[in-house]
Amino acid sequence: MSLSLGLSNALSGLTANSRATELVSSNIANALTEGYARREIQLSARGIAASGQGVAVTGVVRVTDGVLISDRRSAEANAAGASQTSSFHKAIEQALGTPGEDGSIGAAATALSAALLSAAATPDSTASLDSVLRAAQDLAEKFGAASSVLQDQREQADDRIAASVEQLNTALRQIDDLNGQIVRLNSADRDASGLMDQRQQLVDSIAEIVPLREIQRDNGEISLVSTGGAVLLDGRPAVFGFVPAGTITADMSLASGALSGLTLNGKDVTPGIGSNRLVGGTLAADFAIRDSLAPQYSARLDAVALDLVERFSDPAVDPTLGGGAGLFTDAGGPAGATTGLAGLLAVNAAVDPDAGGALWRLREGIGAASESSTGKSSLLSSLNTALTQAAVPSDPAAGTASRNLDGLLSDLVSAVSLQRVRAEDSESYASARYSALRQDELDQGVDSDAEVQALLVIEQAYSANAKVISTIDELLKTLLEM
Amino acid sequence: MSASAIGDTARSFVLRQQTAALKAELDRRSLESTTGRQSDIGRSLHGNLGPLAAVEASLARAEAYLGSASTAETRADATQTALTSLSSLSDDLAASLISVGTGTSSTAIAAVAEQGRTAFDAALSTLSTRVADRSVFAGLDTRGAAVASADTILDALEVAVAGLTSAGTVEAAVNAWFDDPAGYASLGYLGGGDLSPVEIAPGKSVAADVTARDPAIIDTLKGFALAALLDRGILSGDTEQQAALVKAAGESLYDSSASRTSLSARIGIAQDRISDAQTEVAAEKTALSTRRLSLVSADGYEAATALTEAKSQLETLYAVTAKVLGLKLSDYL
Repeated sequence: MSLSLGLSNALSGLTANSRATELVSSNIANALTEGYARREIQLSARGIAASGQGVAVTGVVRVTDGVLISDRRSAEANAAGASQTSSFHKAIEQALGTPGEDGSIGAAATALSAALLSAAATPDSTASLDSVLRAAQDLAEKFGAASSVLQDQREQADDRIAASVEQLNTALRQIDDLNGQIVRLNSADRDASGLMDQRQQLVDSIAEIVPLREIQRDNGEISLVSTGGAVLLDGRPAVFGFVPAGTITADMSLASGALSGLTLNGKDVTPGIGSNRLVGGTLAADFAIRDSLAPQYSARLDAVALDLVERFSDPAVDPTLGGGAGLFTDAGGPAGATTGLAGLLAVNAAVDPDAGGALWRLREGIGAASESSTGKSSLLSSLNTALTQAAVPSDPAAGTASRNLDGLLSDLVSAVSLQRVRAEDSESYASARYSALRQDELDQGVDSDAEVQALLVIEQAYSANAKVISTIDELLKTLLEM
Repeated sequence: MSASAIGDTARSFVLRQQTAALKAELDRRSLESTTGRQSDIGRSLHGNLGPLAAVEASLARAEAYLGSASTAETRADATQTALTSLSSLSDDLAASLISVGTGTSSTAIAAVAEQGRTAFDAALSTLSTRVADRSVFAGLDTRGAAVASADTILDALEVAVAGLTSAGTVEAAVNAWFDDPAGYASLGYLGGGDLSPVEIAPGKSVAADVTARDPAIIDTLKGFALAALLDRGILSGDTEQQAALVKAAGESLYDSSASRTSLSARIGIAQDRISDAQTEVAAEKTALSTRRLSLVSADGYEAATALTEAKSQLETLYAVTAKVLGLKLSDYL
């Protein structure tokens, strides 16, 4: 009986070797597949009573490091969130422009002052007055452009939130579905590694949105909980609710009800307002951009715009105003609500020949009925003085120190620039951390050299087993020839 | 499998990241070496852009101040030139007028009267000088002429002196007309009020303009007008009174020369102030440019060194990439 036992042992060896080559080939084939975890064969000696009965394949192991993956996911979420915030600040900095850059808002304000200065020397020159008008229009446009970039950023953040919420809901449903299939396969003692790879990919796909932790349950099922403590999936998937606003204007806010908050199974979890359960990822970063960062800059820009309007609407500067709007208007009239003013800033039509006004009003006064002396430069001088003299802005959002317009704008740009540099620093820290963890994770992936090496060993073992079979065959033949 | 195995993707991930980082560095450094400016102003100034903004604003204003100063200079020069030619007209005429003594023949008087008439025309046209389509002596009303034509003024003067028979009364009437708000100020002078001073440097203004209603100019015009009136036949037939009027005109012109000189001196001082301001603003501009450079410029040596360094690093990385990715156990089996 022992010869046939030997045959059976060798056969079991061949089977195990074939299974091992199968795994090696699968590993090599998936060497570059995202989310694929290297497979390892688990062998044990098949033993009945005391005698060896060959080798048995007890299972296939997916080699993963749960702690590492969890760390990598939260680092990924932080890096993605930081990158979102930093590109927001960068966009605002670019919209405002750094000093000295052509087309920056500061350069436009300085150009207006220089144009007024030149025009005061040659008040009779139409070209000089025209350059004052162009400079003023340019400055108003710069305010409008910066304001619309801010609202665009809010709209984009709102759109991204809607897309993220959609993605979260879909992925959570799919993960839940896979959970079910994996549990069934595991209970039937079948290999669920492929489905686990798919599930890991799905979890990875939402890890950027919300930093989350994976919790292992029985039979290979997983639960997902955000690092802030919101349960995303436990037996059944959570449902996020969000309504995108479409177009967003400066006066729309979460507080006014014009913008949607975020709900989780019907409960309010909007990041930033009392709920820290979803902080850390792109979702929270987008809510921060939409509800706090952009509105803060917007309020400051509006306050500076108000200061600009007020500087020129002082009757002491231009006695002809009679309570009307000065050189800069709030959509044509005197300054109304501060919110959204930067976007509505316009040059008074009374001085714009294209809008039915006349350039000489820059020299005579916005409210002047007729032209008197072409050499009058006093108003142009006092307009320039109004622009360049230091004053405390009426809206403290623009700043509380006594500044001229150049100063207010450079304070604003400095604040944005500082925030941008800080956001970039924290982005590069977060992304360095993510890279390091990602590299560690990838280190555990398929090493094709190691697989080929293993293949060599398997090859040897296979030949050895085959040799055993042929030897036993010889022995049996010898017996039969007797 | 052994724990020391390193996943294939890990290697390419690291190489990719290093390549991206080096390329970004290469971009930044090549931008800095070619433009000489910091590629990220906000970062290099630690987010404090106030000083740079102030420098940029001052530079833009310095440019505007230089433009204003140049305009003021052109105008002051034109004014000075006009005053000089007015003076030489006046000096020439005064010399001719004084040389005519009592008892001179009516032809000689007619000759100087003719000369007076021409000089008056010339003086008025000098006062109507325009520079860059801007009337120099018209004050606020820069578009129109500063003074009326010689005929208009002389017509008005003829009315004022009509019926007068002595040189003394004619002179008094002409003087009175020039000093009367309803006389020269409303009929002869067509310009407006005084121009505001022009700001030519931070906190520095200059008033380099003179109007044709300046007392020095009015005094000069009185002399010219007296001589020109003779040409219109005032006191005709009374050679003695005519000669007296010629003399009075000559003296009036001589007397006015002092106030013209002080007017010229005033413009000269303004010209001086303008050129001082120009020097000052130009120097400030240079200083500001230097300051701006120190704020935004990238150290050329550092940028070039870093560029070379990044380049050689990238080359090494490419070589390493080719080597590392080419190393496969399967190739050796």
